Amino acid sequence: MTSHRGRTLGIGLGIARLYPAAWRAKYGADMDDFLHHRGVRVVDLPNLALGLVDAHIHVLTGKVRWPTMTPSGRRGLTLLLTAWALLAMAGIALVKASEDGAVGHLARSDGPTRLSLLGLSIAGLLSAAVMFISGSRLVVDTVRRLTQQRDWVGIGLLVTPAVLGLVMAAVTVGLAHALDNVAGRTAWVVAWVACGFVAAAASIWTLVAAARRAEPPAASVQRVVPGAVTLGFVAVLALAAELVWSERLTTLGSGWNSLDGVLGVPLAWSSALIVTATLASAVLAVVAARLVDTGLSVAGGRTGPA
Amino acid sequence: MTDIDDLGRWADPAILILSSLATGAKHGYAIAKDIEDYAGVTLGPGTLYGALSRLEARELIRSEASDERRHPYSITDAGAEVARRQLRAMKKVATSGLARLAAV
Repeated sequence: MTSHRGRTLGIGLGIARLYPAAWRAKYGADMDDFLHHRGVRVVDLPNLALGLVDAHIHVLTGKVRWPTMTPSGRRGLTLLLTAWALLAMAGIALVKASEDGAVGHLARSDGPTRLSLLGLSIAGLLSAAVMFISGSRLVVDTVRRLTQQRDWVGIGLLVTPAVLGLVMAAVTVGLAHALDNVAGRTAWVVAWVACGFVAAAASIWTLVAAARRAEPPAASVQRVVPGAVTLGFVAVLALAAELVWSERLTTLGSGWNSLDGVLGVPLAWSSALIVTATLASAVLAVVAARLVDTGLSVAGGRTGPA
Repeated sequence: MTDIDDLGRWADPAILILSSLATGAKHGYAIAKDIEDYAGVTLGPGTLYGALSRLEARELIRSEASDERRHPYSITDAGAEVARRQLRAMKKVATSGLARLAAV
């Protein structure tokens, strides 16, 4: 009997060790004490196992759900995603058009084609404007919340990608006139890649720090998104500045050759990918939180009278 | 204000825990033992700590500062108010139900 009790206690303590680290940091010692004092009955084992699943879901998603964002933040995010989709479509169409040199030549000679490209450009600019306004609202909303919570680390993480974006813009504008030579283009690429890596590292570090602080990832993703969005804005503006600065917008058909190089197109796509992936992970985190909110929480169950 | 029903399946263990903490701060084991004594209900460890974490997230209980790794839990003013309201509602149902059953 004693060995039986000892076995179930061992199994129970083993299951308790599998609870998430953040959860154990808060409740682990108390639970171990509970199991040692009261012992572990066989019926406690499934209860512990279900609690294990619940704890992982609880820590993964925490209590952060849509309602933790203010209505203006939610509206901003919705507008932002819509504008992002529009801008992406316009961007893809423009890149496809520039890849096909015939379109550029047609744009100079064919009225309807020129009008189509002009419409596409206007749609892209409108989307960018909507993105800027809605994204700014999101940033202001987040900064206000973080300031109220005196979360200086969060503010720092929010500001980091924006600062990196400004550095990227400065580097881009500064080197725009040198893009026609290999050294200038190489420096531009190095600056972009370095800033991109640091921005990605900042995002990953945010998630790791959040895990250590037992903060739900959804909360940190909500913090990272505005920064990533700012990065995206500045990247788009920098791209536009580069095009204007080098007077390539006037000759759309051949001017895109500067981006058609071996390095230019992968670089543009990879920067877009970083921002899009961050936004996608935010959406996934929110969806996960919503799923738990609607009843996927499976812990414990009720116990009857002793 | 938080309602105990918001806790869904955790509402029953939550009201037992809040009632237990009404007599003072306790660790998990002391809470479970107290509930067994006054209500005759045995809470499993997964249920107890699942309910504790939810009550703490809603600020209906708080963990007190302690020199040990373990922290005792105590009820907050909001927790006391929620428990009071829920127990009054349960009492009303119990009184009405018993009165009706008396006629059977």
